[in-house]
Amino acid sequence: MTDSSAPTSGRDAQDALNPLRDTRDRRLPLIAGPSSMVMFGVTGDLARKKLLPAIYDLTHRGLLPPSFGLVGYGRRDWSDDDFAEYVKKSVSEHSRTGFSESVFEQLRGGLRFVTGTFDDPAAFERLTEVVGELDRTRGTGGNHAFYLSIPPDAFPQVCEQLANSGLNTPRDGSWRRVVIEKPFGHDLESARELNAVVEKVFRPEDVFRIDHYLGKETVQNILALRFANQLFEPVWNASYVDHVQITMAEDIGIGSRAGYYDGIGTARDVIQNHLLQLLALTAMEEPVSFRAEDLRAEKEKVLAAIELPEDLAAHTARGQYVSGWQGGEEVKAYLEEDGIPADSATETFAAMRLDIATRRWAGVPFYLRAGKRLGRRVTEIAVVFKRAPFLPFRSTDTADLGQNAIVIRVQPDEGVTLRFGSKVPGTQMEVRDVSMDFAYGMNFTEESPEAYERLILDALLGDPPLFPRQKEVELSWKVLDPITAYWAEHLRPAPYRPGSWGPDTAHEMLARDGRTWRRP
Amino acid sequence: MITTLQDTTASAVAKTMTEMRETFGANTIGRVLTLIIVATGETIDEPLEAAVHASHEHPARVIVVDVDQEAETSGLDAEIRVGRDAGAGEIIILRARGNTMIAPDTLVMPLLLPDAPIVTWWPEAAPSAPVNDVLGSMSQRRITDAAACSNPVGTLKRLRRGYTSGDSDLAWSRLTTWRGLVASLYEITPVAVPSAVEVTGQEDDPSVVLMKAWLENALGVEVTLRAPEQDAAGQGVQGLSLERPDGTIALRRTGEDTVVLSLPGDDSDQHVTMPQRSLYELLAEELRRLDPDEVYGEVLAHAFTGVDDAATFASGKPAPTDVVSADAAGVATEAATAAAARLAEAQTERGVAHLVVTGGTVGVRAAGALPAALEAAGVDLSTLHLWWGDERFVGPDDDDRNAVQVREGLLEPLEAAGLPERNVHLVPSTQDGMSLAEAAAWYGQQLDSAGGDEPFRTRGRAFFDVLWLGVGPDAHVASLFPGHPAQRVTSASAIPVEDSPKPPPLRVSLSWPVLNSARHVALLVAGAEKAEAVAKAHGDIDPLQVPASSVRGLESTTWFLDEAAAGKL
Repeated sequence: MTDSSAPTSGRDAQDALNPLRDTRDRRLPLIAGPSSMVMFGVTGDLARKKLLPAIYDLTHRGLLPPSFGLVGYGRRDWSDDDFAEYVKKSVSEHSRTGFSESVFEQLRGGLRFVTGTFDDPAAFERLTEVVGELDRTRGTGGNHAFYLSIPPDAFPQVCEQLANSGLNTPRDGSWRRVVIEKPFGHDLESARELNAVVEKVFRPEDVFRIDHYLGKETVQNILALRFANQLFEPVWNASYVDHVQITMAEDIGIGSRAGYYDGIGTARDVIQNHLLQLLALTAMEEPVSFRAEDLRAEKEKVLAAIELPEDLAAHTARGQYVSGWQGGEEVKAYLEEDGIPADSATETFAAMRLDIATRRWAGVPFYLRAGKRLGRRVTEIAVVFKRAPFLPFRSTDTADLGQNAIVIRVQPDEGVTLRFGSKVPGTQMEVRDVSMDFAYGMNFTEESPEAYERLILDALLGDPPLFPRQKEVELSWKVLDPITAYWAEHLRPAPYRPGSWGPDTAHEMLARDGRTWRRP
Repeated sequence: MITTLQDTTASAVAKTMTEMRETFGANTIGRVLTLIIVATGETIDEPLEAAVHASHEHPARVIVVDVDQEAETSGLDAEIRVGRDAGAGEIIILRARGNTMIAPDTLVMPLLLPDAPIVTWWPEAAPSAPVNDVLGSMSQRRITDAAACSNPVGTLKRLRRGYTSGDSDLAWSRLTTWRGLVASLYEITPVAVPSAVEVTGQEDDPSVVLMKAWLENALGVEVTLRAPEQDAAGQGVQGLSLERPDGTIALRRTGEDTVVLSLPGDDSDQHVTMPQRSLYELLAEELRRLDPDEVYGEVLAHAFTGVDDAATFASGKPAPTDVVSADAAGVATEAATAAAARLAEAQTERGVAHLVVTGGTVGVRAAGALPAALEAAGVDLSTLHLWWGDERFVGPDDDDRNAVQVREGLLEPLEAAGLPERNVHLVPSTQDGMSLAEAAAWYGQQLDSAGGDEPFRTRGRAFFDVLWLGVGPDAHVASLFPGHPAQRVTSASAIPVEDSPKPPPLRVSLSWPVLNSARHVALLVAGAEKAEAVAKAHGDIDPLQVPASSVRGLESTTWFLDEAAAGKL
């Protein structure tokens, strides 16, 4: 079943049914319809720091319906009021738009808490009752989203209970959706198993996989930059592009994520989802429209066209940070972090060369790298162009001229940089690289919504373009699985200094191709 | 960082900005638009603060044009703010004194960002037709605020007449949160078009008027307006109800930032947060989209019916009376004496007097009699303003010009007696470097800015104290000729007229609503050849065929006739 055949959900359907929604009326905010959200794992870090504040901020911006209900499900023996206090504390500490008593009061009317474990049928009975009560007294209309902010190994239990209690089945004209967070498995097989569990209970189009990266303004701007302009697309191919570098660097260590991180590593943690999504958006062909299925079709095509290097030893690199001084503080080695076994072979840095077997990209390597404890926190896509085929200058004139580049900065300091050669003022002809910079504005981010706000709202609106589908998830694992398998067998992580740009092997990897990493 | 420049020019301001940028390197941010704020000498702090705040979302160059037309001297002072004092943008405050506002476009031209869109915002006095304003005509978006004007709904009505795609008003953006909420309430199942809709709010609140019009236009049902409870304070929409088969969905504002929602079959009220939106939020919303807001245009058009019939402007005012003299000389004296008395009266009441003079044989004679009459009535020339009802678009010294015809008899004596030159509002000539259309737009702008937010295109308002008109044998007045297509234009204050049936062919004329914005109208006619026209004009109001029948003063309309002209009455 495609999205378009479900006429009671989705923005288009909403527009068609409501005479007050004129498509030309661009001011009119898209407010989610009557609905509630049931959150599993509501006491977790993510819920406390991101999800609850995002729900509050949406309320503050007037984008949630007045009737909105939020049901917490957890082991704690909390009353609705205890839960409300917890939510209040979370939003007053972490909300983006500032705490306001009256906004909270609006939200508070719809707050409920159900105590129970994931395997307790009686608790799910109570959950069913609470959801029914919201429908009756608040007018949530039988529309409920289940947010599984819980470890994937708990999915089977929760999904089964939801099915047993009938919570997964919508009445006529209403919807039930499930929102799940990465990781979507740790390899192809586990991703398929996980999906089978979820899709046994929910229809595929009712499963919303959150990759918060796709909710970011700059990521969406990649599409605008490429497809709304005439300037870039003509040179966006193998005739002009030399190679592409996609970097996602963090300057912090693994922090408190030891339990999850060890055994997973950087490649599975971020390359499989974030970096491959960025690659897909950068490399895909123009979609015939921006409808979810058309966008997805192009992303899937390009993901399916990815080719791995034959010699994985020469064209991939993995590393592990050691202890040392970074930016004025002394930091632990990965192997010394709490909860990490001293002989762990998990990588905290990963780099790889991928090729795309299409006419557009043949011969243009895409270099991906990601890691912890690197030089600075930055995520960017650099499209590096070939040198001009002929330079009518003396070679000394252009000694300082590098390669032209378009750099899309995803975070922080969102923007786009264009790098090109320019004459240095003076009597001599001397050409040197300069950067032209578009920033979203120095304080722009302060007004721009958190990715989670956008994604939660889209899930409630039933608007799917920003959510990856299972096919994309599986294609990504197909790319990554051979690499992680090879690494497990043959390649131990190389040590690198905290605050550097990864192990020497990463630099050697590019040197083999006659290239160097950009310093982002 | 703030730099001030005294007695400067726009290009010097631009140069200073470039220097500041080189010194401080504050040029790394891509500015997306130029925002022009038209201030009127009152405090600019509030709009400026809103603009600075909004610049975080829309990095902009903000140009405040602060006008003081009454200043003793003419000149330009400027203040440039960049960095911390300007949010994420840069601010230029232009204090334009005296005659510099004769060419406001040249003040801002060197300071506009190349290529970037221009948005003009009038935080207070809205021009009659924003697109006819010299600054408005350069802009992609024109933002007014009817609620900040002295007659909000009247202002909205004249904005409707002057509407062009690209206009918008903050009364509309104040509604956005309400509209969003109502649109989502509509979707509550079972969805049904409401059989009745009621909006609670003051009928003189422009946002309430627009809310009603929006619902009627979108839903196709009659919307009733209910006055709020006595003690309900606050502006804007106070409540709303949708009557559906399953019951009533009702919204009621209960406090400054809360609205209570009740649903069918649910007696527990739900609270919805809906704070009054601050100026900056409204502005930021306006700047978010720079394409025309077509829905606003349609809603505005629905709110007020257009004036298809220019007769509307004249109807419902006191009936004309006749003053018949023996000959043309008598007409001139009578008219001049009456005018002088009215002008003296106006100065006593308002401290200023506006007279519209005319050309033609009798008009010129009456003008010649005026200096003596003004002196006799004790009119203070320093606060007397002269305007022209129409002018021929010829050379500045051409005898065809109405202003040239009264130069000797009126202008020279009065200027010698102390009438300031700037109070003589001449229509541009062919030597002023403007096309006919530009000349008309320019004159309209001068009228609009002199009128402030009290001006034209609103029935029952007067700007001029005395308006003199001659009448042609075909019963034309000003340059509005019977059956001529130009006279149909009512959205601009002054209109270009081509192919005038009477030479010279190119003219500028005041339009119907402006001619009908006078306290006292005097039609000056002499000669038997006009008796027919006078008789016809005493009949029904018929602007298209008998223009002279269709200009009426708010307080009086008087025909000053000689016996020959009155011959057929």
